[in-house]
Amino acid sequence: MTTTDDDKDVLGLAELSRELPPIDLDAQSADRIARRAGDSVGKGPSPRRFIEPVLAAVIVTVYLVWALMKVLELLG
Amino acid sequence: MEADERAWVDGLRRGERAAFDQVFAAYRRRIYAYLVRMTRRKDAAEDLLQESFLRLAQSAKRLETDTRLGPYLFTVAHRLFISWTRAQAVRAQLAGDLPARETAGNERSPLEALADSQAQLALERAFASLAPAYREVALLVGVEGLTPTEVAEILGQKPEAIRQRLARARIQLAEALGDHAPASWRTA
Repeated sequence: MTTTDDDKDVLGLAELSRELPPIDLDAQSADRIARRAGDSVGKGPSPRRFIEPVLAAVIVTVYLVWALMKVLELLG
Repeated sequence: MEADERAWVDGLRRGERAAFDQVFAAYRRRIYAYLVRMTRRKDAAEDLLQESFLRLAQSAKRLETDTRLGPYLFTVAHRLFISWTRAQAVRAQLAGDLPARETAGNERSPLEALADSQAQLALERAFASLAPAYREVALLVGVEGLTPTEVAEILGQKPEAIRQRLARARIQLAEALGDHAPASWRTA
C-alpha cells in the first residue's frame, strides 16, 4: 500500500463523512449525563466497585484453606 | 496541543468542575456520534457516553499534563464499546439466540431516521454495512479526522493494520455506494 492509496482512503472518507447527518443528544440527556459524571470529578472510582472482587477473593481463600485442612487431615 | 485543551487538562487535574463541563461540551457530540454509529442504538450510546465521561471525571487528578483529551476519550469509548459488544453476545447466547442483526432488510434504524435525504440514508446504510472493525476505523479517520497512527494508538493496533482496514473499508463503501462514491474512488 502506498501513501497515495492512504491519501485516497482518507480524503474520500473525509468527503463522505461531511455528508453524514449530524448526531447529537437531546439537551435533557446531555444535562443529566454532565451532572452525573461531573459530580465525580477528581473523586476517583466509588469504593463499592472494589467490594465485589474483595468478597470473591475472601470466599475463595477461605474455601482453599478449608480444602487444604481437609487434605492435611486425611493425610495425618 | 491547543491552549484550551491544556487549560482543561490542568483544570481537571485540579478537580475543577468547570473544566469538566467545558470538556463535556467540546467532546460530547463527537463521542456520542461515534458510539451511536458503532452500537446502532441510542440508549446504549447514551449509557456508554455517560460511562466514558464518568471515567474521565474519576481519573481527572491522575491525567498526565500532556494528555490529549480527544484520543483519551475515544480510547475509553472504544474499550467500553468492546465490553458492551461482548456483553451483548453473552446475553444473546444465554437467551438461546444468535446475536441480533444490526439492521434488517429495508427497515429504518433510529439512526437512519436522522437522514434528511436518500443520499444520506444510503450513506448511513453503507457505513452500517461495514464490519465493526472497518466501520470504526472509517469513522475515526473520516468523521473525526484522526490520523491512522492516532487511530492505531486508540485501538491498540499497529498503524499498518489500521491502513489495511481503511483500504478495505474504502473498497466496501465504494461497492455499497456505487455512483455515490467519491470520484477518486470510482476511478481506482
